[in-house]
Amino acid sequence: MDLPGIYGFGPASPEEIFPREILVKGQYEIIVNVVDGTKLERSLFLTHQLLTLNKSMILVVTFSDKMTEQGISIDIKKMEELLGVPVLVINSFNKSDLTQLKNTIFSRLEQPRLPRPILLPQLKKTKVFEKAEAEIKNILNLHSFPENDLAHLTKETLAYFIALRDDYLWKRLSTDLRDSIERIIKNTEHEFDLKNGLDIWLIEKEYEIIEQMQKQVLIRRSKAGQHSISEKIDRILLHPVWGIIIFITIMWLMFQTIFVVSQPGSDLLDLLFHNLAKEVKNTIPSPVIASFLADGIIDGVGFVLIFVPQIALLFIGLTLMEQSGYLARVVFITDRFMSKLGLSGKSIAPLILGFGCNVSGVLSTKSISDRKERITTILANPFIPCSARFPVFVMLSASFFPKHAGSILTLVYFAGITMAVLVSWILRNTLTRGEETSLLLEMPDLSVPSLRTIFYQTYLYLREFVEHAASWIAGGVIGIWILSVTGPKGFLGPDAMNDAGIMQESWIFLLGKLLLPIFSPLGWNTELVVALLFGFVAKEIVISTLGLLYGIKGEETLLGALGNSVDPISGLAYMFFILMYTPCIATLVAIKNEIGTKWAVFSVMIGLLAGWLVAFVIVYVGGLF
Amino acid sequence: MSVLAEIKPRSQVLINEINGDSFSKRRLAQMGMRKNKTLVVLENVGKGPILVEIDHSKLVIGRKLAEKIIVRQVTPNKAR
Repeated sequence: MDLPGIYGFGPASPEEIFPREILVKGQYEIIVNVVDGTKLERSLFLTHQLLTLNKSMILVVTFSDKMTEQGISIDIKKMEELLGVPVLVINSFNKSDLTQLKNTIFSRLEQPRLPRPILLPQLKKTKVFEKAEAEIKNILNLHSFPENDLAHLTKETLAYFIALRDDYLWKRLSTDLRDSIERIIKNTEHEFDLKNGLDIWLIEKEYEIIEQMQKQVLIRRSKAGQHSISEKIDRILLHPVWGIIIFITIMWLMFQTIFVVSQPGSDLLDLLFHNLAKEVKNTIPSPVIASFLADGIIDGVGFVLIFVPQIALLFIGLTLMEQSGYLARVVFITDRFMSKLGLSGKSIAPLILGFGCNVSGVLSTKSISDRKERITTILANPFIPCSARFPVFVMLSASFFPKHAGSILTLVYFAGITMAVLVSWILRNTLTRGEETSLLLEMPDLSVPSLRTIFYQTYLYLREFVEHAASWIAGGVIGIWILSVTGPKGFLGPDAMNDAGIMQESWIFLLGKLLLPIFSPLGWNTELVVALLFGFVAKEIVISTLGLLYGIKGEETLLGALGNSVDPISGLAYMFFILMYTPCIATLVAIKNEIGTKWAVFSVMIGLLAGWLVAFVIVYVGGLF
Repeated sequence: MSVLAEIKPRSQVLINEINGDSFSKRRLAQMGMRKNKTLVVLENVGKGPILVEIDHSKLVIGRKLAEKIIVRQVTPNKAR
């Protein structure tokens, strides 16, 4: 199992609790501990804590190439002796190194050997830990903690992790037990005058032990005065002016590439599904089954799949930024702007990705450790006009404002960004108000990521997208199909999908009529409202629905028909409403998966509310002239 | 004594005291930031975060947090 990165045991951000639970529960044979050889001081910290788990371990030191470059060498024998585990220094691009690693893992699995944890015996030599550990052990015994699934851990190890205030273990303690342990910790801190608390004292002690060990195993021939290429490039990338210019250029290039490269793929898939649907209609004799398969299932699944090229490219771009270390630079240079909104630099990538697709925007918030900041970033995301809304805005601005379509389009985009900023700011000052998040992250050296890593990571993201979103989008389209071909009179027949006259009798049209009073102050008709209902599935369906409802094929005539039936001010209000009214189903599902149903519902509510209010203001102000 | 947020780039400093919320304090400790540890300030511009080097790793520290880290300057503006 490949676990996400953690720094050590202790209090965690949400994404770190899971790997710790796995590690503590011990349902595995061996720990393959992969560490960065150029940053051994940092890596040994977690290593020492992992060793206290009393599991077979292999220590894999990677980046042997960079270590040579930087004049770092390790006394492997000495290290193996001190830690009691096999130590492998490898270059992960080197095939024979990887084979050697595989062999070592297998031989260890056959002959498991327990490591020699040096951390706890060393800590026990101190009066502080000796006392705290003994008392915590006592109280655990009194409460007969731990339960079965933690019984394999020694009481010593448990006491140590509890003293470190590990979130997962503290969650497992009863309230009584917590109170007693809290008292023990308080007493120890008081008795030995530990101003920063017992947990920080333990962390600092561990670093002292590491420092001593380092002296025995690590040799650094520092090349003073020499700056690596990474550092030279950073001079420009981190520059307050040039850094921003480069960042904007890179983003623009990325979107251009995604747009240009993915279009043929999407078109091809679209055509494929279109023809498949046609073929199904022609070959299956029963029109009901044919329509269900063609208009329901194939359209539904097709709708998901035509996004795949775009999303794949987006994820390749994101992975490239992440793996090369560039994303950390972006966080650095944008933090000063984001902190004005009560967010940190970590929120920038999700917001940018939102322009491509809100789903990827929402998914990419995983790197934000502060939950409240993460919720804010997720809720602001649907206000960023994604690429699916682009054709809708192009179409509508051309029909309502034939002479100023370009300016109106720009206005809508600008409004979307403003709304995202405004929503973040309001949320951070109300519902998701919290301690100001202090940015703290490690900046990796710049590196060229391997193709394999990029494609594998992209594949993982894509699989997540298809699995989670596909079922819901497909389900949504199928649901809409059913509501379109049935009505109070029963089954209307599949012709409803092609005939506006018949569709008037359908449930969906009835629903549109029912909702009309809410929207009539804005000057919209039933057709526009029904199109909004369809747009909930995916925004780009709005156009095809309007075409269907007006009984028109072809864009040219739809432009005229729309322009004639709705006045420009109401039209503009309609565009702003589409910009905000609710995330599409795929985004909604992503929000639900990331932060829960409650916030997903909330996201729909603020979208509808903000959309309606802005639309109303536009109509009202427009009416004054 | 001054706070880390005020230190000019390319200076070496010694950590004297770390304040701030408990979560950040622990996280900083895990990353090796502790009393009497030396670090080098690499970047510090305007209202942005501070970039430091510690234990051969680079760390981005938000300005708010850097204002809570008390340091003592060891070498001013170490030559490039």
